[in-house]
Amino acid sequence: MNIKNSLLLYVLVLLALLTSCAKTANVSTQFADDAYVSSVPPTPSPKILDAAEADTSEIQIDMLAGSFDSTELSTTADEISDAPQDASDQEILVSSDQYQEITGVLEIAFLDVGQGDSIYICLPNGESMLIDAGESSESGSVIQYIKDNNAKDTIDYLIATHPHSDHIGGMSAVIEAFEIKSMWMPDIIHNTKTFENLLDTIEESGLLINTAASGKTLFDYGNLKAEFIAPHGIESNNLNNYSAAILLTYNESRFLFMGDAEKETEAEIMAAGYDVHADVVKIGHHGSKTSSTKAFIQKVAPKYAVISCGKGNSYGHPADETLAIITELGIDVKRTDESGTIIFSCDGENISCTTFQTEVQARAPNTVPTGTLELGTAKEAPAKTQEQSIIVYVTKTGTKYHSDICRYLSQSKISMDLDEASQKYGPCSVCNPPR
Amino acid sequence: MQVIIDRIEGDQAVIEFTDMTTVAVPLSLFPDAKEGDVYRISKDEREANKRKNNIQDKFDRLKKKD
Repeated sequence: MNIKNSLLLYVLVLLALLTSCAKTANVSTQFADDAYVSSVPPTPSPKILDAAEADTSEIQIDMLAGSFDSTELSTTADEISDAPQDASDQEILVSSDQYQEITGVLEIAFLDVGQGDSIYICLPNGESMLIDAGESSESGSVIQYIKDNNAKDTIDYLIATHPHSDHIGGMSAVIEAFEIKSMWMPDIIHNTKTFENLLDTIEESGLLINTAASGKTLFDYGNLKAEFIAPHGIESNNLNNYSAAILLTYNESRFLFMGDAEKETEAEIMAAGYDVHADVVKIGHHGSKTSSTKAFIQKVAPKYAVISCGKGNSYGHPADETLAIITELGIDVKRTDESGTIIFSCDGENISCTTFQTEVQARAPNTVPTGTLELGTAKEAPAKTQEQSIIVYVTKTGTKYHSDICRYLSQSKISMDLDEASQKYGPCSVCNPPR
Repeated sequence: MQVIIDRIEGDQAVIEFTDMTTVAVPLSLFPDAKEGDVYRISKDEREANKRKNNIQDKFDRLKKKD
């Protein structure tokens, strides 16, 4: 191939790629929320468009640098001229609106973790997502649910909506139990040991934290997309208002997860101009009266409102006022304290809701009656009520005792009564067994 | 003993102990508490003895002499 020919080919390929790139931008813009002008450009699908993008940017750099050296030129042109032969996939992807349409079932499980939040999502493209992980005492059930419902040992998107213990308590154990592909948290810290412990676990796992903030895209596969709509730069002494709120869309179906966002954050989301309409909303802050203004719920106008709270919780969640606002708007309320784990399935068109339990178990109370506070007793109360039937596990050589699901039990697993185990062994810091 | 305020839920404070367990207690125990505040709870034996002596005195004063 002589220099003249390769230059011609180079220019032609460049034109074709630039056109397809421009097309990508158009398509992405169409998917961006009509009402909201994002400050961050919509991220193209990370997997599908990588190849095309990489090629384009390489050529642009060459041109800018003015490196029309014949050797480089022919190398680049040869590489590109080879491409069509082995990249029939690429051709399909680039020509069909840039996104390969995703089909299949989206499954969203609002796990019964007592008072707290944990939402496990199996995406129709085979990826998975976990929003929060309940209190540390619930980590075992969260991990078990994921293992029972996904053959893979990975979680693609792990989101800690905000640093309160009822949302992040179980997260360290989750990170230890699975391979985490990406970790997302709002840009805010907390003083607690629970939060510090989570950071330590993240560090030990070699993970880095992606900042969850409005305008950021969690993923975008065209007809399957998740973006953050909060926090939006709020300053508050209440961590709930830093909650990462996520809007997940699959074709025309929309799912909104509010974390513990309170009224201030709801106002901020509306002021930012987001289209918050959703078919299913995870109501903010366990149905507390601090959240869910009528104005906001009217804008969301969902078919289903999910409240994740513990049976017999001491905080009065959900609040009667909040329930009244929701039910007066004719919205179907699903509560984990009444129904246990609640599962929504979406085939890309229709949404169905399944619940299993009719009798939800109340967790050991984490409060003591007003007026009779004795700190020592209060702390130990939850364990005592369960002690009779608790079995934990030890290994042949270890010095710690573990809960059933701990990864340290792969070599040996000897069952033992908690009473006996706690006298001879220390609790494992990874699986956080009963004490 | 050290406790950290994890969060405020209405009129209750959720406090975290050093072993990362949490418990909800009346917020009135921790006036002006904010999330992330650290409290030290310690036994005050001097105050206990002082109170014991004072109350014993009071009681003795009020006791009917036989």
